[in-house]
Amino acid sequence: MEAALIILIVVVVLALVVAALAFQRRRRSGSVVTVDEVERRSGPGGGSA
Amino acid sequence: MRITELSGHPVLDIDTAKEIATTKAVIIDAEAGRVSAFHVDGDAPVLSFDEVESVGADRITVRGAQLHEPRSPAEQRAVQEGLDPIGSKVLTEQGVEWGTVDDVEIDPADGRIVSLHVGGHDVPGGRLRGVGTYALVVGVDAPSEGGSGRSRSEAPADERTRDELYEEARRRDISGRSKMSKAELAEALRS
Amino acid sequence: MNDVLVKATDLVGRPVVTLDGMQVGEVKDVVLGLGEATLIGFTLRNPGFLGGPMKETVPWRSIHAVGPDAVMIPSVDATGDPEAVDDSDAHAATEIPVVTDDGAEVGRVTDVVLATGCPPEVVGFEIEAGEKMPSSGSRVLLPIEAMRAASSEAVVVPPTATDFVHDDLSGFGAAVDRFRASLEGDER
Repeated sequence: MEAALIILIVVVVLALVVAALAFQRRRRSGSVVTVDEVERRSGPGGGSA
Repeated sequence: MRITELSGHPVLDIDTAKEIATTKAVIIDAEAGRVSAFHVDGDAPVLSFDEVESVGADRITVRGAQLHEPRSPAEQRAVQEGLDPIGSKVLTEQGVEWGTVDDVEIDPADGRIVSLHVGGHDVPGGRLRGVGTYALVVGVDAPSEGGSGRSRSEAPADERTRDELYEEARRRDISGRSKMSKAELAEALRS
Repeated sequence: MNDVLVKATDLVGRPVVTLDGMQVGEVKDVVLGLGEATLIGFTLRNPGFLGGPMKETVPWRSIHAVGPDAVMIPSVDATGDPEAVDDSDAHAATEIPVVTDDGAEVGRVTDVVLATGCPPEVVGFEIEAGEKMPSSGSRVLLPIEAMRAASSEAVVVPPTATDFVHDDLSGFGAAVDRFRASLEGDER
């Protein structure tokens, strides 16, 4: 009975850790960045819409 | 006729008096602005709208129609992904979410989408741009190509005349009739 | 200004959807060319909780519209390859120091304001005042014309820049228009 409870707690804790790590990773993946050399820019006036 | 009335509709072949399928969902061809087929539960998954004799209150009737495998990209996507327009998210082409599709009003004669009921608002069928797994996309204005007749609301007299013209075109099996406006149908029938 | 204004950090994670109603992915990085005040495009990541980076990108020309709920592109074919939006030598746009002409650091960039027109443009920065400033910690919006220059290393502002700060996005468009009008007035 006690063993089952311990296993349950371990599983829950592991799941929370995994979820937290995944959430952190997702947060970090994606940001606003800038590049200094804009090679392909061909001036305003193009594009759709 | 509203498509929520059509789900789970038996398809009856009136020549044999046998039910050949039951409808699961409608398949929309966004470019043509109409329901082009039904996703059905039968020997094959697709029944083309053009092969339907009549869409009735209790049954869809056919005469010797053949169920078939998906042919067009719209049919393939609908069958593979189990697409159902009802409950689908609605996104404008400007990237604004409007809610979900409550119902779709169609013309039972040709499957043309008259309007979409989205969160209490009616969107004219001519504005439909695309039907996908993520959302239905609607334009803010009616699309310029291929929708000249559909996007303007038609007076009742015009509706009847167009229906009559369409029926005639159907009898004569004029190709592309579903995409034609009233004027175009009249022109096609004259030749 | 008719274009809708949006903060670049708000675009991260926004769904990217085709006009056919298919989701291609989500915005991963917003890649800017601050020196030229342009949006180069977006890199993409797969949707969902565990979504990793995708090789497809959205160059600025492929954008049909940027809306509050999705970035719309014409079709899946509109996506570009990794070279179309090359962020391999990129630097974070947030945390860039804001420095006056006479070398005093007054704060750091916390966000970039974009006008979602055709082509999309950088119209301003959100700056957080530094520790040495009396208004330390507060954030203001500054039109890009109020700056002398910008790069990944610094944003240089003349002392008069503080006349043109604004504090919320909804009025920022009008503030930018007034500032541009005042520049034209000076030139005559």
